[in-house]
Amino acid sequence: MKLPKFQFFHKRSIWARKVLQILFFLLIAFISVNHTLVRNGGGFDFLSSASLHALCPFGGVETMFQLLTAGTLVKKVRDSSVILLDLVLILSLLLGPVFCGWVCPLGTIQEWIGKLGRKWFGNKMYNQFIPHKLDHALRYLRYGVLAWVLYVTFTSAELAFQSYDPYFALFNFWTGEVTITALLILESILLLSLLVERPWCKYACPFGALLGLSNLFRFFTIRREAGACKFKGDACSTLCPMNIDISRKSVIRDHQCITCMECTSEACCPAKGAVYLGLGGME
Amino acid sequence: MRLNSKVVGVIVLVVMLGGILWTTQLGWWQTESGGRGAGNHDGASESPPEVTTLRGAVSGYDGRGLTIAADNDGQAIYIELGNSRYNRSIGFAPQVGERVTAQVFIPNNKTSYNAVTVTQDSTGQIFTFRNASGQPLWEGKNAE
Repeated sequence: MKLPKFQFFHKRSIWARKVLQILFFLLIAFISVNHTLVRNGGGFDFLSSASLHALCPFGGVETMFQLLTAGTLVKKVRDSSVILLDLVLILSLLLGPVFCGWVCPLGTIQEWIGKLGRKWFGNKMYNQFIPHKLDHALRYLRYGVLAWVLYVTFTSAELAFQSYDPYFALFNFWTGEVTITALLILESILLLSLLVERPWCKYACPFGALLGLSNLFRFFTIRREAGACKFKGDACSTLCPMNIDISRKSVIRDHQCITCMECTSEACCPAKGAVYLGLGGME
Repeated sequence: MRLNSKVVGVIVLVVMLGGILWTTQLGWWQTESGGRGAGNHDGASESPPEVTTLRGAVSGYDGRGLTIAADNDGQAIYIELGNSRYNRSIGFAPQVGERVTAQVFIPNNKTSYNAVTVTQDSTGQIFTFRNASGQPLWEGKNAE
């Protein structure tokens, strides 16, 4: 009798996610470049020339307190940020932080650089360099960053985070509006991505911190059927970019899940239907 | 009920790409509710800026800005108009020596002047570059 071919890392691709990541990365990059061109008298008419602030849903978070208490927006934040935030929150309630895993260009570029690191160090070593206890503690740092950003934004009535924001630096480094601090943070993140997958998302992203909370009550969650997990491997845990120990859980409600679906049976899991995105379920 | 990645992709694409196109095409990326700290990158604010009048003869024009020799002291003053493509579209092409009257303001984050309107004294033709709030007319829904 011929045994089924066992592939420990049965790596198929969530190509829809990769296509969307490329699409949104290019869209934001082109709009940012067009914004600069328009300000300098050129630019393309068919493309929006909105500033990055206007396209960033996190601006909606930063301005929320002022919007609710005074009915106004923090300087540089636009109505579009608030609308995009609403859409992201609706998506998060339904599917979890898909904005992080499928849309955010800063997450995308970390992931692209991470592929290089994964190639160099291999799947077993890459993304496992930080000691587990330290890694676990550092993951709560981003809530501190979120609290700090909200506090300084409220007290200054300005986008104080812009001076440190690697996302702003990534799409504005050519404008002269980016601080050295933000550029250094961006460089550090990109370099660190060679060792750790999505270091900014895991440890410091204030928007990721907020969206991560949606994992606790989202409608569709990543679920694992223990009975269908016949290979007893841990490909799902090893390949999870956020180091979530999926192979020991039945429902993933971890605050770090970004719904990338790389753990599912559509991607790395070799057992059909063992790991999937399904409705409801408690951890 | 299970969702595969293609369905998730379509949902994310429709909501996020639709949201970006919707807000940018409707010009909501240009609007803000105003008030404390409200303003745009061009130094404009919801409360109207303090506008002053400058008169003089044009001594230079680089497409984006105008240099005039002020009537009162002959000092060269640079007035930023903004977008050269917009300037061409409204037919603004001043000649050196031509006399103009400019309504200008100094944005919050700058020390140089931004033009609201420039009037050609010889013809009386008024060219408008920004609205009363100081927002550029070539950006967002102002451009329509």
